[in-house]
Amino acid sequence: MLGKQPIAFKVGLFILLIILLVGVFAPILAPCDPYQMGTPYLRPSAQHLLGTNDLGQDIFSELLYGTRISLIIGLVSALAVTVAGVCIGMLSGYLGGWWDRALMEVTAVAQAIPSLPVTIVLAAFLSPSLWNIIIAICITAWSGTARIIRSRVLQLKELPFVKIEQTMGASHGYIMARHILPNLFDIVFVRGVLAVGNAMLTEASLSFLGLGVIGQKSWGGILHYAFFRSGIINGYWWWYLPPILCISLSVLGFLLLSYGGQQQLGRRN
Amino acid sequence: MAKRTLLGRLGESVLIVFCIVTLNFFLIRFMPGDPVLHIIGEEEYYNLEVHAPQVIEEIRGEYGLNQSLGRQYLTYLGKTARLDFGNSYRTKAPVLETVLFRMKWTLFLAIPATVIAAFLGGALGLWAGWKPGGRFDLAATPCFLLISTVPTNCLAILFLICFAFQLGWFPISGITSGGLTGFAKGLDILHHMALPLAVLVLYKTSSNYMLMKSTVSLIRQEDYVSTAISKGLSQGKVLSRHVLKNALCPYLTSICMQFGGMLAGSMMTEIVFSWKGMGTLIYDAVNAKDFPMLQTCFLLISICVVAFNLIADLLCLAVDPRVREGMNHVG
Amino acid sequence: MMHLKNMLLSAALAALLVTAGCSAASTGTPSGAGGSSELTLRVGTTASADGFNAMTENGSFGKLNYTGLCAAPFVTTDEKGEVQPYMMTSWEISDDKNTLTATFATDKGVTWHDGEPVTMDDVLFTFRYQIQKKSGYCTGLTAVEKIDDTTAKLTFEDGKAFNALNSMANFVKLSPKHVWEKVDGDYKEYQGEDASIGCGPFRMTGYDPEAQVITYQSVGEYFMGTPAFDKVTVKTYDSHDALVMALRTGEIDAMYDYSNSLSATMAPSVTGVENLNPGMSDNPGNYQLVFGFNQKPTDDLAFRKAVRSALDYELLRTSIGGEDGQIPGTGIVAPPNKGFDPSLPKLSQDQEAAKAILEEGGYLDKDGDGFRELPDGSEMNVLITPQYNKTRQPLYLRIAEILKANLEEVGIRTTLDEESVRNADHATQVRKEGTYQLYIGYTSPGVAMYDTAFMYIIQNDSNPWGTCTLPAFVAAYEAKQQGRSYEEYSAAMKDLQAIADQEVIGLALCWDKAYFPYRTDRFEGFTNIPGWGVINNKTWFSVRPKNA
Repeated sequence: MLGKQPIAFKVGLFILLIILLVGVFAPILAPCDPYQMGTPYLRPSAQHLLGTNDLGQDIFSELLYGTRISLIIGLVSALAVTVAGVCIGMLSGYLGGWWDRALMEVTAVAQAIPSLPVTIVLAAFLSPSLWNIIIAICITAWSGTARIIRSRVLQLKELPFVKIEQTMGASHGYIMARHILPNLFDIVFVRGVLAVGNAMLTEASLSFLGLGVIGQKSWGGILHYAFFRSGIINGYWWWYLPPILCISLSVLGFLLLSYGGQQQLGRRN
Repeated sequence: MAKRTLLGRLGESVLIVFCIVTLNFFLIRFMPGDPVLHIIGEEEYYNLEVHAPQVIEEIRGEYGLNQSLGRQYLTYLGKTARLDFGNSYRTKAPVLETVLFRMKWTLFLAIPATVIAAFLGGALGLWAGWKPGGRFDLAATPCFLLISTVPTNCLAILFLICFAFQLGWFPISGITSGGLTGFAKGLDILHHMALPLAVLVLYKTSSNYMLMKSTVSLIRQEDYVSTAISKGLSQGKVLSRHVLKNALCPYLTSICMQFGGMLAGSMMTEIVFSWKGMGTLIYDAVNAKDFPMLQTCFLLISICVVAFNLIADLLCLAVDPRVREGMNHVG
Repeated sequence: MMHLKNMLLSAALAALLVTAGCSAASTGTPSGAGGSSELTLRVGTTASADGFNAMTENGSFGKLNYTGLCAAPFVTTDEKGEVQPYMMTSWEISDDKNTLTATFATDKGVTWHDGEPVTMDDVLFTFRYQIQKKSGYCTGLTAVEKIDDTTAKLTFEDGKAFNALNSMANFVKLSPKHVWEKVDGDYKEYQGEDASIGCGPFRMTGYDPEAQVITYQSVGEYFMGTPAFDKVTVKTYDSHDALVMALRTGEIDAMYDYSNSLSATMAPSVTGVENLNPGMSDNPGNYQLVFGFNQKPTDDLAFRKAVRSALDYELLRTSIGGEDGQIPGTGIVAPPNKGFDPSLPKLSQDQEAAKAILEEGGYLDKDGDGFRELPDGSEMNVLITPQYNKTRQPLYLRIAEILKANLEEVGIRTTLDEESVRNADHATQVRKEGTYQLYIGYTSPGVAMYDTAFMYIIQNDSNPWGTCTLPAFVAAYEAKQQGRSYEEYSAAMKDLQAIADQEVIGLALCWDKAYFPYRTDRFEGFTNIPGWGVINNKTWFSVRPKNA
């Protein structure tokens, strides 16, 4: 099954598998406890592969642990965004009429709202829990998915077997669950995977502004302290560069996955 | 027929703007915290709280903050309709004046970035999409893919470290150094905007490239293109007559969306380079809970988005008459 | 294919044009000097440049006025933090400390920047406005009365004359009556052209909103001395990083950022750079931990002593103060302050001692979860609240992390008050209602000079900040506030430090250095005032061009 997939898909999967493993086994892989404080601002050495931060915590171990929060935020946000987008898109496309009008109006409003500023406003004023940050990331991100799902559902609705089921008196719920949803799988996959990448990018921006999760290690958080505790002006590249690379690598993994999925989709159509 | 759909679209846009005006109001009002503290400043607020708490209530009344929410909303609607956006809580200056000043500088950065990226990304994407799997495609696609994986603020920081801190080729931040006039000032501004512009152009180009490439490579597989080539039409003619014509509409829509989003689109870049545009203004307003400022910014951004969506529809209508039927179908 | 090539070509051309424009600009002359032959002192700050109203203290304009650049203060302070004459040329305090008879520089030919002469009417107007708005700088001032054209009598209550004289130093400036008497409503909201008018040695002449630069022009001969340079520019940078780079490239000559010195983590970036002096001085202010006396267990001396012994002062020292930071003494206030007591012991970590104190105090881990309970057996979870401050937030959070780790090492469960981190109003409420347990705060150099860190610990009528009402402490604090001379003040300060040592009412977390770097290639004659840096009330009269 995997053999038939495009190369991009395989590479993406491989990258993500490694990142997932690192996240799961962070406590075993990490040479130090990332919360253990010691001598600050040590340069990279055998003992501390990437040196220590402003509290003397091992940066390499911070990065390994940071995988967890960054992945959780990315995955949960993407799940929420995709579920919301699919529900709204499907209802709007399938039911049509006033439902369609109302839901598309809501979608249009969500698209016109400046997403990053609104996310920042929410993150700044809600208490900084993991869930609030996820809410802030999701609040406007679902609109694109909803639109695409809707137009796909409009096509599916016209297919003969759906028409037949309708004339046979099958309920809307049944048709949506039995016939529409399975046919949306590819597009949902591509959009969902893309959403993980986007959510991770947004999280990185929020954390950088100091609006991320407090007290837990995340890649964006490491970057925040590197920037605001003088890592940059003092040229401590081992502090600011690794989190950027980690974020980019995992976003690349998700992008490749969706890119591969898209190619597959294009081929099939 | 087209006229009626257009009117419908216009009405829809007005409705969206109205929804956003309403949302703006409630979103910001439901945020925790006493805005009076930010109106008069922290030290003064504490001072008054001890010595003269009634003054705080007076100020609350002056700004209409002690009325019921419904009333505040009506007042807000009335003022918005009259384009009276009030004064900033923080600086006391008229909001509109500040926002327009900042908007000027955001546009100064965003318009060239969007235009350059539109041509660059479009041309390169066309090239790569016309010969998928070719040498150029193999070289450029991974590069642009990589760029789109780096968070904007990170790329901006890397540029800042590399070209401003280490090499010293460009200034660290700001719009201009000051004390200059005329041509020298113009050059100085260009010098300051080079790095943020480069970052924006890179991002926009990479997304434009991806879009154009995938559209063109899809069109290339279509029968009419192969027919055209087999009929002996030159590559240039096939490109301009068939491919470009069909690829232009989705591409133009995407560029219009970029224009629509440009007021808030360069926020992180502005923050990193201290570019005094809308992005930094919003960020400062969030930190200071400057409600009137935030509301006005959000309103203008939304209007911009809605307006360019409308323009996108019009452009597609002009470029590709087939869309007309599609519009009737959807709208 | 031709078509495609053309498109590519034009795109490349556009890109080239932009880069060419940029490199041309980079070869231009260093900006800021303005190209004229006038000598300009270029100051950099991070205070935002919004508002030019001399009645406010907002933005870079207001903050620079603390140095008497454009507005002239009644009195200033010197390197030792003692009051020196300025517009108020001499004074006498009555024995009951309720009357201050002072002479003013209204006969020295000083004029407002619009040409009107400075008169006794302006002095009376200024003090009456201070009384009317219940200014915190002039607490206890009840009346002002003209004696002759250069003399006035200020009347105070509660023996506050000397106290007020010290509080108003640098901060209360003479205001022009003829400008403000025609303003309706709140002076602070007035936006007119003449709102910036003062009678200092420099007149504000312009503001460039794009460059965020305010320009000032010397008024020439001035009764305090004549500046040796013609212009001052004050440029706002968004971050200390950008400001330091501007200093390093020579775009500005000195840094001014009232009470926001460079953080110690940036010291390496300004040390050992050619023509750049890091401008290091002892910081009179400090970061401190304040205990909540309204809450259990922080109202218990045993608990506070245990906290004192539990903290890793070496890590706190380097995190806050870098290589130059010092481990503080038990008396809280830092060495540059008046009445500093060097005989008190330095803080030190001894976690075994901390555990022993806790055991003795009845804080035992009865349920075996690894954390101690309160003496009555109920659960103990101590809240750590950092002060809300956007720019200091990363450091506050780092300090909180250290406290949390250290306290958990001796078995005290702690929680970070996350609500206060995000929500300024919640942070304010916690402090106002005095419901915090461990409060991390900062005493700025300005406050440290006279009010000191004890202001954040005491609870009395005029101070809503603190929660401590220990009688001996309150008495000593009152004595400090009512001192009539620096001897009396210093004696009271010694008492306060002794009480801090015995009762552990708060802890300084580090005695750090302040860094206000300045360039040494264009100007000389700078005086580095501890905690203020080289841009201060002496700068305008003592700094002169090098080799001139």
